[in-house]
Amino acid sequence: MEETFKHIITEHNGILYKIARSYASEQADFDDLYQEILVQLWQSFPRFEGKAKVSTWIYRVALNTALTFTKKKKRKLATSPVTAWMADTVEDGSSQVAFEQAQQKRIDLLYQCINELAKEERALVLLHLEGKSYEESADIMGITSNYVGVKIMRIKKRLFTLLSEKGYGGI
Amino acid sequence: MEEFDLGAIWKDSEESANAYYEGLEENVVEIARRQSSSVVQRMKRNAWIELLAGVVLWAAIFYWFIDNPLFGYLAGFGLVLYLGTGFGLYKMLMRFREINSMNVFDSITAYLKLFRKSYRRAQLLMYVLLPIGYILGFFMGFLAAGGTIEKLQEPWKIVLILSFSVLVLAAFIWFTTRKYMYWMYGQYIEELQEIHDNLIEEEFVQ
Repeated sequence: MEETFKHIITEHNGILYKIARSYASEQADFDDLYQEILVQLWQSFPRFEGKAKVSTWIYRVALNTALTFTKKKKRKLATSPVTAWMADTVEDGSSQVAFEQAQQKRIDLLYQCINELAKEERALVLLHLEGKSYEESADIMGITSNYVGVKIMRIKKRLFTLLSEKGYGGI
Repeated sequence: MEEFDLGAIWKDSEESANAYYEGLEENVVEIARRQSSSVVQRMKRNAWIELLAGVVLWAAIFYWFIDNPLFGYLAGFGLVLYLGTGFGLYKMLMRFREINSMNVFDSITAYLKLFRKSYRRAQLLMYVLLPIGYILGFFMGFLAAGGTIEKLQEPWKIVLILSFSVLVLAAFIWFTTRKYMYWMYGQYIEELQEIHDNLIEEEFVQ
């Protein structure tokens, strides 16, 4: 069971990371949420009967965990997970590093804007960015695919506005 | 700003995801086995503390008041309260074991139901049952201190003392309970209600 669980998480670790980053803007909150998602997945794993796709189950557990997650108050360090990751890259002035840093800035900005959306909007937009069809998103969210479509249109508009305001074009 | 840009950026964060996961991979099962810090887990923990505190309280009451003429009433009242709330809580928490595997809308609806029930239960316990227990305890203390029913010839005195002390107690309970209940349930109810309302559009919900 442990091996199967580990294999599933290794295969889908991107989902955990992206959801945790969409719901936690600070490093410590991100670590807590990522860990809590792992705990919740482990606890519900014995009851996973394989009726739904593994990814659907992971999205459901991870999103439900993120939606009820509360940030710990009074953090002193406000490092974003991106900043921490960037600090690991060597600043040797090469064009490759400059490219990676610009890329990282864009990722950082995207998550920053997603973090400003309402909680249910974050869930919908991240499913959309993950390439999920309206039907799959509807299945994960428990709303109709028509409504997913309507919501996605509105959220994308708001996301683009936020990105423009934060100078996305200049990166 | 085309949409494929966002898709590409989103995909790029996969690299960060893998880098982060590499640091955890060895201990991923160990981390997953850690104690949950979710609100449901917190409720379970509180329920256990309440049940254990109840046992300790019972042992103390049994030890000190076994000979009191009102012991039977207190015992009956306490037992019904203890078993009723304990069983209700256990049943409720068991029903929500699969709450996180449900789809998001059903899960939020179930969470709201759980929090509202717990909120009402706490309200009932704090605002109604606690003062009743207090009044009963008052009379037990009165009798234990040598008071008799005959001495209650001027019941207005008792009523006055009781009313005043119940008022003071109620004000204290009201103030502390409000803070506790908001920390425990209120903040979640508010936030989840908003998400729930935003996901509802009559013609769209499945």
